[in-house]
Amino acid sequence: MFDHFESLLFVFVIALAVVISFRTAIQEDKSQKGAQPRDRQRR
Amino acid sequence: MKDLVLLLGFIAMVLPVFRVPAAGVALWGWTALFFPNFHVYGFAIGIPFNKLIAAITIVAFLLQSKKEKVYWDGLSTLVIVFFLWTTLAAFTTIAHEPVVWREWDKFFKITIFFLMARLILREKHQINAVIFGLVLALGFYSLKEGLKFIVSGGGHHISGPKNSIIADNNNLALAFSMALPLTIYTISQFKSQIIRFALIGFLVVHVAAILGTYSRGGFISLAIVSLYLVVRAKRRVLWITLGVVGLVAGAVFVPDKWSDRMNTISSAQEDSSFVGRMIAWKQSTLIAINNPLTGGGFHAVQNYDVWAKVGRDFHLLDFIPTPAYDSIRAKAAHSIYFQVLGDQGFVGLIMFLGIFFMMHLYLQSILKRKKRNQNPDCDWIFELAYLLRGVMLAYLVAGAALSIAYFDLMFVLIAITACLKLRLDHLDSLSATELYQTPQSQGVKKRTFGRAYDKSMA
Repeated sequence: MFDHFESLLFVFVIALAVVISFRTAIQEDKSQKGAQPRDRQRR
Repeated sequence: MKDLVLLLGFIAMVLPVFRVPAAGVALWGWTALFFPNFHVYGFAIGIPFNKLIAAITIVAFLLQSKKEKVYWDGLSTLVIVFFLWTTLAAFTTIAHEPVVWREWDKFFKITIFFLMARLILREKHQINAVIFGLVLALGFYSLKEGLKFIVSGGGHHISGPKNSIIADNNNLALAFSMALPLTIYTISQFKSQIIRFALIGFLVVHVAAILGTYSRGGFISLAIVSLYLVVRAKRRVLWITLGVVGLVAGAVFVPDKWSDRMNTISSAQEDSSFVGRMIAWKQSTLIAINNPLTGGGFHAVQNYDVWAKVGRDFHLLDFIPTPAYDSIRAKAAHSIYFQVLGDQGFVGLIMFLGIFFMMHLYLQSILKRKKRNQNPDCDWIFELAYLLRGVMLAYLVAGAALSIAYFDLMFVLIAITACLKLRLDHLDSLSATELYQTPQSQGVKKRTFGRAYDKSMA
C-alpha cells in the first residue's frame, strides 16, 4: 500500500515543484508590470 | 514510469528558469534536499538534476537583460571569506588530500548556491518560492516516513536517503526541526482555508516524523523550537493545551524502546555514544592546537593518520575526564563547532561563529523595527525573520552533537536573512524619501505613512 502512496506522493511533489516554478514566473511578471507605472509616475 | 515523470516534470519546471532565475534558485534548493535521483531506478538515475538546474540558473542570471544594482553586506562577505579560508585550509591540509578536496568541492557548490541566492533573491514572491521549495523537499520525506511511523505504532525507524547529508537519522531530525518554522511560515502565506488545514495536518505528521528518527538531538531541537514558537503564539493557552494533550497521547502511543532511548538523555555522560563524541571533540581540539591557524582541512579528524598522530597528545586534555582515545578507528567530529575547529582551525571557527552572530544581529535588527513600521506589506519580513531565528536556534543547539557544519539548507537561509534585511532597508529608505518630500515639491496629494510604499515592491 505504501509503495503506491509513495509513488503518488512522488508525482505530487514533482507537480508542486512545477507549480512553484511557474507561479514564481507569473508573479515576477506581475511585479514588473506593477513597477512600470510607478517608474513612469516618478519620472 | 517514475523516471519519465521526473524527466518530463524537470523539463517543465526548468522552462521558466531561463526567464526568471529566482525560480531556478527555488528549484536548486528543492533538488539539493529532495535528491530526485534517489527515487528512480531507470534511465533518469544518472541525470545530474541538481547540477543542471544550478548551471541553468547561473547562465540565466548572467544573460539577464535587465540587471539590477547589487547591494552587498557584511554577513555575505563573511560567508565568502569563510569559504576562502576553507580553501586555504585545504591547501595546507594534514589529511588525505583527495578526501579534503572532495569535501571542499561540496562546500564550494554550497557557496555558489549561497552566492546566487544572495544575488538573485529580492522580492517577497522570490524568497517565498525558495522557502516553499525547501519545505516541499523535506516535507516529502517527513510525510512519507511520518505516516509509516504512525501506522507502525512507532516501530518504524526513520532515516534519510542513502549517501546524502541527511542519510543519518540525527541529521534528518535536525533538518526536519529546521523545516518546522519554515512550514509555519508557509501556512501564514496562504489565504485558502483548505490549504492551511492541509498544511496544519501535515505539520502533525512532520512532528511525528521527528520523533520517528529516534534521535535524541532531534527530540531536544523539537522541544526548543516548539517552546520558541509557543512564546510568541497568539493563542498561547490553546497551543500549550494541545502540546500537553499531544505529549500524553505520544507517551501512550510510542513504544518502550523509543522511551528508553530518550531516557538516556539524562544519563548521557555514561552513554557510550556520548563518550565517543567527547573523545572526537578532544581529538578535533588537538588538531586545532597543533594547527591553530588553518586546522587540519576538511574531514581531518576522520583521517586515521591524523587521528593517531594527535592521539599521542591526548593526555594534554586529561582535565576533561573521558576514557582513553580509540586508537583503532577514527571518528567523525560529531559537533558543528568541533568539526569547524578541527577542519579550519581557531580562525575558521571564529569566522563560523561570526556568521551566526551576524545572522542573529540581522534578525534582531529586523525585528526591532517591527513596532515603528506600520506598513502591512512588510509583515511577511517580520514573520519570516522571527521564524528564521527559530531555525537558527534549532541548528545551533542540535548541531552541537552533529557533523553538519557545511549544510546547504542553513547557508541558503543565511542568504535569505541577508536579503530580508536589505529588503527592509530598501523599503524603509523608500518610505523615508516619500515621507519627507512635501506635497508642494511632489505636486501630488500627500500620502499617509502606511501607504507610502508601492505594493509591488513589498
